[in-house]
Amino acid sequence: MTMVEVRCPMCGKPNPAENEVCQFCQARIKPLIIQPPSDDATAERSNISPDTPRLGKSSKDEPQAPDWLQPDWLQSLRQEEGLSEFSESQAREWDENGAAEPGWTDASAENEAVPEWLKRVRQRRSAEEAIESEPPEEGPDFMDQLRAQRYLGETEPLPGIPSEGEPALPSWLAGLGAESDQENPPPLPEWLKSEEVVDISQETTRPVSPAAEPFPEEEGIPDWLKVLQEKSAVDEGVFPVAPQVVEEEPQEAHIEEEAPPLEEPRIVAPFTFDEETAELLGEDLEALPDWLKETQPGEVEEEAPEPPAGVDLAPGSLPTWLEMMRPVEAAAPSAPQLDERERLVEGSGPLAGLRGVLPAEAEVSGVKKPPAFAVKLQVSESQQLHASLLSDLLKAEGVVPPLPARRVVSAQNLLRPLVFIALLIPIVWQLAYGGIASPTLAPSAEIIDTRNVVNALSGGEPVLIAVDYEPGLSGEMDAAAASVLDHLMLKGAYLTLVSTVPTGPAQAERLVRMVSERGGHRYQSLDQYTNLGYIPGGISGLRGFAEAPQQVVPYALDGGSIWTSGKLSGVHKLSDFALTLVITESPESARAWIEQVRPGLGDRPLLMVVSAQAEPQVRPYYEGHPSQVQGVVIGLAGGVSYEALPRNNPGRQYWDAYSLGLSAAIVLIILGGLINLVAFSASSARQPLPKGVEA
Amino acid sequence: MRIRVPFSASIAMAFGLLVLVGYFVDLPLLKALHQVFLQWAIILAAIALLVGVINLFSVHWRKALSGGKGSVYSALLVLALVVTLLVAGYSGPTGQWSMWLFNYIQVPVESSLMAILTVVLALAGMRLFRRRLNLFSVVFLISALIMLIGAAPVFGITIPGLHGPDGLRAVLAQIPVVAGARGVLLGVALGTVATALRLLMGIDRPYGG
Repeated sequence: MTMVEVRCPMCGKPNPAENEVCQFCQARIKPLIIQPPSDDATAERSNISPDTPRLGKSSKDEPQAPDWLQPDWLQSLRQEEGLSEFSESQAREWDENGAAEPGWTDASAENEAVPEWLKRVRQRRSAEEAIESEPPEEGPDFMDQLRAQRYLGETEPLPGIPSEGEPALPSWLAGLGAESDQENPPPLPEWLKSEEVVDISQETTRPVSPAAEPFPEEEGIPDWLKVLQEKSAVDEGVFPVAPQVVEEEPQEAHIEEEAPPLEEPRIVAPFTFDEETAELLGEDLEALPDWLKETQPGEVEEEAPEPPAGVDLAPGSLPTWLEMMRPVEAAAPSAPQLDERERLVEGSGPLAGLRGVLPAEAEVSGVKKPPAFAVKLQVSESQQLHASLLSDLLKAEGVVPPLPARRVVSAQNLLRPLVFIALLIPIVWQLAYGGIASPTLAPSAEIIDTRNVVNALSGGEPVLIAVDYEPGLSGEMDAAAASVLDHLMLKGAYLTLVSTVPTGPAQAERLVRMVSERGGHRYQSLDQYTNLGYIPGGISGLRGFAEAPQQVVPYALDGGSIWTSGKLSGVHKLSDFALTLVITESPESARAWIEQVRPGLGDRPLLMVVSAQAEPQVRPYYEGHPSQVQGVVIGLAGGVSYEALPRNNPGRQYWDAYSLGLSAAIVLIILGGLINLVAFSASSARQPLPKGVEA
Repeated sequence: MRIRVPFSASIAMAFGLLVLVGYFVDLPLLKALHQVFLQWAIILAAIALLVGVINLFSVHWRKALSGGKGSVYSALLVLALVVTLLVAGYSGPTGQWSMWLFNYIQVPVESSLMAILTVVLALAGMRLFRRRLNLFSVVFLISALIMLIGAAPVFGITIPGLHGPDGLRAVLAQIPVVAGARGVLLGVALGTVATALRLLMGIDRPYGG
């Protein structure tokens, strides 16, 4: 025996019929049963007789007229198969008992009154029952599945179909039907009773056509139904008829014999019933809801009054703005368009003069050469000009403009060597031959102060010298510092060298050796000077050295412990040095020494030898009151001016060449400036000044 | 483990405040902490310099081995670094061979660069009016010429009223130049105070975060 299976609506896999959810995708197979909202409705549902009309199986998506639009006989057609069987058995019971219903013929005369089509329906039904009672034959799987679906459709409620015992109708209507069935069984006609046995759920979905299925005879219709039909006829045209569809057979659409055409269903106005309907309802009228009871018997919704003939009603005038927003009307032609052939009038032959007939001549004969249209665009001259400009722009996008050829010999390439030669020749000539002896400048106040401070030193006092300049500026700084350093050596000061520049220790060593050698001082390391080396950390290192020099620089550059023995054994802080001399070319370095070290010097003097570029930064500290710097020697000129008597220092050696080279540079700048000024003025006279250049 | 930003910021702020308070409060403990922190900073700076040298060496070592463009210069830098380290390590920082390298390689090379700068500045002064001709360029060039002329005798000739302690050059250097320099120094001081406050308040976090 083939196991009844149900295919999952989601994944399509077969499942046992008793499963509520799919065993593969867990989708629900059996629909959830919607419980009645209240207990009263349940109680009323229990009183429903088996022949209570219920809603037939219908798809949720199918449009269906509401219950109030459907007469009882139509609702009976939508009963499920089980109900149909019940109605069939009841019909048989009626046949056997010969129950005489009002308006119905007796049992003996019924067979004679049964029409032929009804007899065929009954025969087919009995044949189906015989087939179903037979054991299923082994067949293809799809046939088994179709059978299973059929059986399931008979036993299992499909989604959207209320199962037995559920209120398919409102409670008041269900109770009404039950009582009316018990007390006054519905006087269904014979043809309708036989129609109940038809499994309407298996029929193909199609709109109910009244012409195709008219009611066979009108004599079988009870009076109350006639009344309703009359009412429906009255209300027809007021209420639209919803398209009626019946169930579509899912797979095995067994061919139904053509049933007699049903009569067009009458549409009854909703919530309106006349006195006869009220009498039929009887006591059930009290059970009607209030909103329905408010509709008095006989109160029929009136149709819209037709305008009296001959009265020309003015159409509703729309505002102008709304009239202009009617694209459909504006675009649609006022007159219906006719087909091209409809407009053609036959001009020859026997059909001459007729319109819309087949042409006598073949269309091929009418084919002619199509008209030639000009390919050239109709564009104006300005459009052509713009198009050409755009085309040129687009072409220029992809073309890399060639770089101008770099001239090997240009004015600038010639000018640079010329300037170099113009500066080099006088310097070399002066150094080689000493042609021009430039007089030394009179010492300025800061130089005199520096000299006085050095002169105030006693022999052998420790002096701290910071050498903070790069080797690249050693030409200027060596010449500027040499005279001061020579003066200190002349005074016999013990030089303590330190630097905050990584190359400073070597620079300090070089400076001391040079001055000692030139001045003939014979300064030796550890005896006359010591090199403490490099102080890392920038300003922080400088501050730490100013507060605790022994901790920051505990050893000399050669590894000797200079703080415990020798000339520096009595030095514990910077104020123990008799003098502090800072030699730097950097304004920042000079400012750092002034700001970080000067407070730790106490009343000890701070002297500086700076380059010409650092003068503006240092001079304010010198000119302040009290001055932070007691003496300043600025640049080569300051170093030369520092010497009261000519000494063999590099400053004096450089001074003449420096003066001559500086003079050459001044001449070059003046000449070049004048030439360019004239050239610029001439070019400005020829053409207006470019944007951004001020006169 | 990554230190959270508020934690590192609080550490930086605490250290900065302790050092700052050490400038104004004469307490032995604060001074001791102040000096310890400064020594730590000096040590860290020295280590940073060493790390920088190592990084420089590694970068140029890889570049020299890659054989790409400029690898020759990288190889030369690596060679010079190694040789200098060997020489300084052998003869000491101020030894004979170390000073030879300094006197005959480093000083001439850097001085040559400054000499090139001299020529370039002279050429720029010549072409100043060609590039830009306005009132400020004229004033700039005249000021530069006055300072140059006043710095040394022109062809061995001193110009009265221009050279000397009371000359025009000295007047310019002592009055307008100092006035401008004082303004710059005041601005730098205010900026330094503002930067220090932002650092101490954790608004600026150059230490990360």
